[in-house]
Amino acid sequence: MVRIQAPPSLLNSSSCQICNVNHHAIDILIRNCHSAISGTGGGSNDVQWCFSQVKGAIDDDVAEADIISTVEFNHSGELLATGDKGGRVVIFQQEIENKSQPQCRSEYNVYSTFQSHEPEFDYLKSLEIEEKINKIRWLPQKNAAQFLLSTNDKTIKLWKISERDKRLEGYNLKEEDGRCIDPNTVTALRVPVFRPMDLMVEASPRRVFANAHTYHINSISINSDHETYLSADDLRINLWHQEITDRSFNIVDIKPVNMEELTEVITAAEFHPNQCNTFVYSSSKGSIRLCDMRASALCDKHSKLFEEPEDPSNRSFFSEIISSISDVKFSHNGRYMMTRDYLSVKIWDLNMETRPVETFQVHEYLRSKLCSLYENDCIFDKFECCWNGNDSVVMTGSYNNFFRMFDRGQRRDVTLEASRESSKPRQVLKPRKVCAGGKRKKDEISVDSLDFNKKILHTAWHPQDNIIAVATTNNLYIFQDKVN
Amino acid sequence: MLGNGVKRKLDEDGLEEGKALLTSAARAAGSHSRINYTLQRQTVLNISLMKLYGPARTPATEPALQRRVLINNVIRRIHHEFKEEGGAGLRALFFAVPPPAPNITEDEGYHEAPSSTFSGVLSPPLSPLSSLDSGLTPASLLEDDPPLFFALPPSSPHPLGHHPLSPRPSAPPPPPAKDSFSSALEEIEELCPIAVTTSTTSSLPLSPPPSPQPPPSLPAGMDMKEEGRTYNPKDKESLLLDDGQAAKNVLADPPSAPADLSPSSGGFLTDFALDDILFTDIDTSMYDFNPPCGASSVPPNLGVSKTTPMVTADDLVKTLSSYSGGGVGSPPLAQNQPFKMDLAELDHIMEVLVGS
Repeated sequence: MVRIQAPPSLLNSSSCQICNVNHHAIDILIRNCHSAISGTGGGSNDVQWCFSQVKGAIDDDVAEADIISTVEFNHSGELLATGDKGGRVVIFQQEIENKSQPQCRSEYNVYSTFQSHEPEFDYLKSLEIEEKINKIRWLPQKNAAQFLLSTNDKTIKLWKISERDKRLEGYNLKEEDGRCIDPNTVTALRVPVFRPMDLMVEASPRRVFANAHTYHINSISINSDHETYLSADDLRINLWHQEITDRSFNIVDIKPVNMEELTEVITAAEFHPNQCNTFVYSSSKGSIRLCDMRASALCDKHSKLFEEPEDPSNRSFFSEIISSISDVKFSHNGRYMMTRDYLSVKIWDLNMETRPVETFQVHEYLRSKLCSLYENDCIFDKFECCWNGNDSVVMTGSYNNFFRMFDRGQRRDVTLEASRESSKPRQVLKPRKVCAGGKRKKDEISVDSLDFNKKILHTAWHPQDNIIAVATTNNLYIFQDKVN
Repeated sequence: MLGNGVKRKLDEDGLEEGKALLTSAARAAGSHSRINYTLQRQTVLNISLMKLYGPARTPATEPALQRRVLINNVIRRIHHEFKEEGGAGLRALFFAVPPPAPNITEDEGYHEAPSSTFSGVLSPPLSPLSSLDSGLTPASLLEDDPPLFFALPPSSPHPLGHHPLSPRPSAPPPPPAKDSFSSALEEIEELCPIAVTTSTTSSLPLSPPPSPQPPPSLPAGMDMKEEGRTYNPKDKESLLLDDGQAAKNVLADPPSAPADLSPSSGGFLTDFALDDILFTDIDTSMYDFNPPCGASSVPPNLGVSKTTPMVTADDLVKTLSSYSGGGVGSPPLAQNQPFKMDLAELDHIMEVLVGS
């Protein structure tokens, strides 16, 4: 965004309605700031979301291993990966759109399934290491194969997913069924030829990045330099090269000398989408630190600290816990970042550290229930959040299988539900409403009847289209906007 | 609610009431709001302690550090409030509550302390009533909560014994932990010289036995730890007498907790020592192979950041034992890094693990 120096007479001092930043310059800047966002498509109230598909068992009895723990689209949106508590990764592929039926958008079907991580045992501490997949991140595609990083609490693995639709026939030393041919019986040689075969998708582990984290890995993020990536655990962040597995650089270390003084942990970290030297990490105290790797080798000293002062009127015993940030995501254009704490979603302008430019309340009605939620541990649930393709709408999950979308430009929000009841093909999702108190209107749900076991922690938005993947406990719902 | 001499057990109902109080706090008015707030705080403290040290959770995996840090911060904050309030706030609280008559039910209540672990927690006014000294009351409340957790009958295993962090190899606890432990204890003592007693070994550098002053809260605290010991908190003189007796008795008490407790996770601990337990186990800094900053192992002329392969003791053991980690290339790390850990200790650990 170029700042043009205009003569004072032309200066038009007015503020952007959304971020309240005063633009002492030409209107162009105001337009570029926020108002341009709305109208470029994707506004949540323009879009009507329809059910498309649901994956997973219909059974109400959820097997622990089937609990979905991460959801991620690849860079083109053609592939959708999920990880579960059993250490498995399931990849869905978007089928090519059926031209004859334009109202029926393409579907996602299973493309590959593999066991990424196995349970391990830490002999020294006599503790199990869970095989649950904490995060999956796709690498940008460089060739025909797809690559992704998947991580559990301790180990990161680079997986190659490749297709094979041809096979070689006519080996000289091997029969078709695999038996070896005695070389002495070979009288003539032939050149093996390729023959088509049924598509086979193979997943193979290409790199294993292990033994670098004492604490539980919560984030991985691939750098825009396409060579490195970071992994973050509770107290440290390491920088890896994608090819090198036996060493990593420690770039952030917040472990105190005396562990008794530990009061803050790292909760999430991400690289900037465009600047390969910049990354952010969030903490359990509600602050986000932006670091520049050019400044020093060890980025303990942040370049920017994003922190909003606490609202004194909302102070309670649980203030710190609910301020703990569970997810941080840069916008696609790299100008903003979004953080999710227990009750709200905040959008930060990277140029302003003092407060977020937008705050959206996800489920403010839970504020009076914090003690119960503390007791049943729900207050520690880590909700994720995501941007849509053009950064105009953000989405996050809630309880009772509700998920929320916030349209930044039009300042509107909607609550939708992922349930089997509204899962008829192309059924339009009806907005839901929670009644915080007082008289409950028809179709509203009262706070006390919310099911806190049905939580939507993981959501993902297609990088270009209005297709979203929403994970309930063990089901993956895919919704698309209604094509008129 | 705070009836005359009626002991309330901290069970679901108690918590529910506390929670109800929390939600209705805004509506409380007048003199009740102070009590309400204190009860809320107590409830939150109880829940927090239960979460951290309650026997219910025995996960095979390591509990989440973030969760523990957050809960610990809540506990710390509440204790900080206790400290800051000193006697003023709590004195008002005590005056507001009629002291219970010295009757048998009360004694029985204390008898019952072991079986219903949290009995009496919600009735702080009942315990150290004579602790009118300002310096005493916060610690007495301090003492109320954590020790009650551990006021279990000898037969049941100590909650910390089941704590997933506490199983360690029988290597001696790292000295820094001990120091911080004892320094934390001294800190508590300054607040209120209540003995932090352990029913296990006396090998720990525990704070000295309870000094005679200030007497009143001391026996209260002691009492909480005494299983089945009767106690009449009413009479100051009797307190003084009890004090001396209690002191002797506690120390003389045979260790009732299971002997498999690692030394630093003693029987009756304050929250500061619990912090110690909380974090010491996962602190492998002693075994970290990070070269200190500016160490010669990092070539100064390279512009790279410090290369820390992050080899820890557990990794070492893993590579030594048969580790079936999947995938390509799980190489042993940085064997050329200097071993901070004493090889003798490593041998010892290996022996334990191999079970020779």
